[in-house]
Amino acid sequence: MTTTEPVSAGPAGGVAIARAIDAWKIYGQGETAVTALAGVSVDFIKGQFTAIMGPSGSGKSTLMHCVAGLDSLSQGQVLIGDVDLSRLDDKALTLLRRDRVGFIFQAYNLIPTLNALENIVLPSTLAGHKPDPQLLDRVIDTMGLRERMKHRPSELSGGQQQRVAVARALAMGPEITFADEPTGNLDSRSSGEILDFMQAAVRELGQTMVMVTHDPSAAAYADRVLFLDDGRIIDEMHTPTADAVLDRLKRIGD
Amino acid sequence: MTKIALKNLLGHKLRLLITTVAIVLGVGFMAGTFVLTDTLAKTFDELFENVNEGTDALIRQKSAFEGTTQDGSSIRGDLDPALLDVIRDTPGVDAADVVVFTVASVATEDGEAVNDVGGTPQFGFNASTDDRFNPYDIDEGQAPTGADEFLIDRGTAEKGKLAVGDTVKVFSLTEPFEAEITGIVSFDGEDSLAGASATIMDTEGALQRFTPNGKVQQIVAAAEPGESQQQLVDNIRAVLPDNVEAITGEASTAESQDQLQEGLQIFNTVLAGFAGVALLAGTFLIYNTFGIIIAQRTRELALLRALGARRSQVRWSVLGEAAVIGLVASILGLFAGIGLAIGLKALFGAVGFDLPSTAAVLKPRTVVVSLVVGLLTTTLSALAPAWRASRVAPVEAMRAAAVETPKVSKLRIGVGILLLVLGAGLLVSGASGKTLPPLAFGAFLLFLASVVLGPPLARLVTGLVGRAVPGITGRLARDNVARNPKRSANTATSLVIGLGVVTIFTVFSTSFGASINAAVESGFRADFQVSSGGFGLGGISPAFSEQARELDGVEAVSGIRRGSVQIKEKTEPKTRAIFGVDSQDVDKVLDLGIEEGSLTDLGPDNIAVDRVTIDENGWKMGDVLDVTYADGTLHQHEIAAIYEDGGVVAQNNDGHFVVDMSVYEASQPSASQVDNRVLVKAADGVEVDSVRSELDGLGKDFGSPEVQDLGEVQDAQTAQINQQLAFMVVLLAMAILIGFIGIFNTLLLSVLERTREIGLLRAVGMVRGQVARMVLAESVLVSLLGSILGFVIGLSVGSALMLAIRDELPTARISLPIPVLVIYGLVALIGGTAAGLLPAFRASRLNVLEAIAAD
Repeated sequence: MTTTEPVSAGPAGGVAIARAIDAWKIYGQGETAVTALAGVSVDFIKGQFTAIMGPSGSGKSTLMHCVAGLDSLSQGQVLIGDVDLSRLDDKALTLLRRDRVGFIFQAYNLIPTLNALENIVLPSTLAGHKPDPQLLDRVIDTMGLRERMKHRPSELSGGQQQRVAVARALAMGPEITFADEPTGNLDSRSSGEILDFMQAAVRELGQTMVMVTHDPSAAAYADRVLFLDDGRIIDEMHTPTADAVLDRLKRIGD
Repeated sequence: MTKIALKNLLGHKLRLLITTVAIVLGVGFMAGTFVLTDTLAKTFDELFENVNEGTDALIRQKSAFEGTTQDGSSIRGDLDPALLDVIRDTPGVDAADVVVFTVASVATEDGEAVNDVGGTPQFGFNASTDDRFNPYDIDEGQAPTGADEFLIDRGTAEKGKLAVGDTVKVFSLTEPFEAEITGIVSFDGEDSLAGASATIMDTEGALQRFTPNGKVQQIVAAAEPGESQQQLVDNIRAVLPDNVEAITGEASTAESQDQLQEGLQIFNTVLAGFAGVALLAGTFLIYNTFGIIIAQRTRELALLRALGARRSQVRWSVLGEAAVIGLVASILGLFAGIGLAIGLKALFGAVGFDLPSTAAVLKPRTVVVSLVVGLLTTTLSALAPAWRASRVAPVEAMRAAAVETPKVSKLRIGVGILLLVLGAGLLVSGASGKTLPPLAFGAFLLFLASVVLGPPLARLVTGLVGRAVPGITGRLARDNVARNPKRSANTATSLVIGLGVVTIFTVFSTSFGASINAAVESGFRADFQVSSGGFGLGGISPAFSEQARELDGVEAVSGIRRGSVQIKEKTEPKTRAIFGVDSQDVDKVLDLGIEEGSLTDLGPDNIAVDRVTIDENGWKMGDVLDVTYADGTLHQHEIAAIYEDGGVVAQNNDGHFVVDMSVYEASQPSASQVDNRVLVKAADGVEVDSVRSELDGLGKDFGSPEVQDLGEVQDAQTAQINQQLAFMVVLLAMAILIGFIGIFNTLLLSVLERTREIGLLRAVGMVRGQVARMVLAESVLVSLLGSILGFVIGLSVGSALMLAIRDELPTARISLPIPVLVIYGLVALIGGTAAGLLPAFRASRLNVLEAIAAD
């Protein structure tokens, strides 16, 4: 089952912070060409927590990388706000990432020689200005990191490191934040903590979050889940539960 | 394991290339040195053989004592030409002739000397009527006759644009004279005898013009057919007076060859020393590179161990890699060295040092040494990293990347400080005690201290200097250099070696120059010094000072000549330098610091001695010394004066004995009867400039030697020292280059290591320019680390060295060459930047996505 209409849901009349329009990504040429994305169109609405799921090779990471400006499409458009990413050169994309888009990786999110606070304000430091002090305070408290500001990453647990990563993504007041398997390396308790915080960021700080995950219980924290297979969005689920997600995943490929 | 080792090598070609380059440079330099000296030796060997081809026996005065003249030949007196008839009548002698062999030079039609007096050797000798004794071939024209005709070598003819039929001025040991060029000669196809100029007259003319006393230097003889050289010599020996000897032509050739070999050996050793410095720098590069590679391959090595590889197998695998690199690099270096030697020989030719071309000589010794040195250097440097590799525990295959441990052990700091204190202490003690061995050892300890204290120093220097780089790029650059202080320190060490040695030489040279100039100034009473410039080969005809005395406004003139005699000292007879001066005028032009007696008292039976030698031997005024002249005769000389500083007359540290010119002329062979320099004092009230122009005018008749006042003398001295320094710095450039290659290498590997981290920075918003600046800053920081350490060590050791020679050089002082040091600092900065360019570029061009996904 395939769908190519823009899938938009969430609060009616919500503003689309980021959009993919007929996105194609093809690696290689001719006989050995691999299609990672096959005409995906999707809107990400302000204030919404979206999870993207699918088997490996489904294109979920590719979709997110392209929307976040880390990779380029072979065909189609990605818009963040009104800006068409395909028009931007490397420098402009980098500045976009610095000022407007937050990113959280699965692991190795932090610069080992900087302490927690320095890592959190890294985007602002790169830009050469101070971060918004009020937002910074709020983010630090929301993430529960007040006691750990002076610690180096080697002195933090896995869960704490991820929280710092989330705080970094949020502290510069991004329009949208992407997370690539943020709980992949964590035990279940830390995972739960992180996901709570991410949810809190969406609810209390009005953030827009997009998360790629393969874990159904993680997806349950989202407002909606997008299912990808073979480079296409094949289904969408709102107010997901872990069981429903697991069921749907099992049925992919049928 | 061999396969794995080889696969590893090939998998990282760039790493392999860089490591190889360092060894190629060092080995190439060393191999080039050997090939060059071997080739030069062979060239000269052939040259000497050709020159002596027709000579079966050589007759000359016995050498009275050991020692050499300024151009390296033994000291012996002259022969009476009457001996020729005796030789000719000896059975077995087919032909014999005299050899007049002293110095002579010619001028162009304008009167300017063709070759700088005192630059290339300039020989004047006679043409034998028997052509087999002549080493040259007449290319144009014909043989000369009488005292107004001569032959000239093609090299000089071309340089001075002289042709057959030209009449030009000739200068030798008698008055300058005009003579006509009757022919142009070549030597076995070459334009000159290894760059020396040759002025050739017939025997009668040579005796008149080239010798002040009509004596000859040698007699040569050819044997009758069937007679061996040895038989001839035996026959001749029977008729010779006591103080004359005969040797076979072969023996004479062998003698010349050996003498040259000695000189070349020294040359070889010096150059090899410089090559050694480069290799030492290379050692640290290899050690560091392998260390980094091992650290990066921890997981892989652990996996091998987990799969069952023994510790020794891992070790041998690493050493094997090193050995292959060493072997390949040594072979490449050998070829590079041969190329270098060929290039250098061509360079010599370009500056007029014509040597007959021989194919480059590659002795087995050169091949063996190159291979062994290259191989040993590489494998020894990899020894410690290989050992560390074998220590990797199998369980580390399962762990995430090892966390760097920036803690430097207290023990290491303790040892380092101990070495520092010991080294500095020895340096100071050597300097104040004026002995070199503790100083050398102290320098070595200081260097060791810099290696041991490298890591904590790295963090210190980075913290201080790194603040100069602003912003987050500076902060991250500082952190990156400081987070692995051992690696940063090791990388910098190659540069410490190169720049440290350069600084030592520079500080010492500049200080030495300043000291010499101070010495010159303190003793200089004259208004002008007329000198031959260059390195003292040849000199100014004695007629010059005679005529200078007659000039208007000239009050005093003294020539200075340097020769050798043997003097019976407290323990035994020693060969000593003596300096001939004009005893009546010398006080007016030089201040030797007379303590007792007076130089004007020096007559044919006297001698003046310096305080140091007086004290050494327990002599006093009035003592009579036994002096053996160059011709072997023994004479008595009474001490008539004691002076403080011989450096003034000698321009170095062996000015221990001064005699009147009459004594000098009696005691030295003809060829030494040239003034090394002439000092002139203008009369009171006379315009100094007018005297200068008179001297210039007179000089035109003598090949225009340099007329200089004190300031110009000092400037010339400084220029000469700077030239030597420049030469040495060029030789050390190799080591410095290796230092920068080391930084390049480490940074490249480090960027590779930090791929994911750089990807993260880019993802979070660091633009390419910031990444590049960060990496460049790291490169410059490490370079500065090496430079600062190198400078500090260089300054200390160079200064200490200068102070340690105060006995030999009373005016020794330290003069810091600030402009030069600033230049070296700039070199460090620019080199550091250049080394970082490619790594910075690579880092900034990393594909963000691939970088993040990297492991």
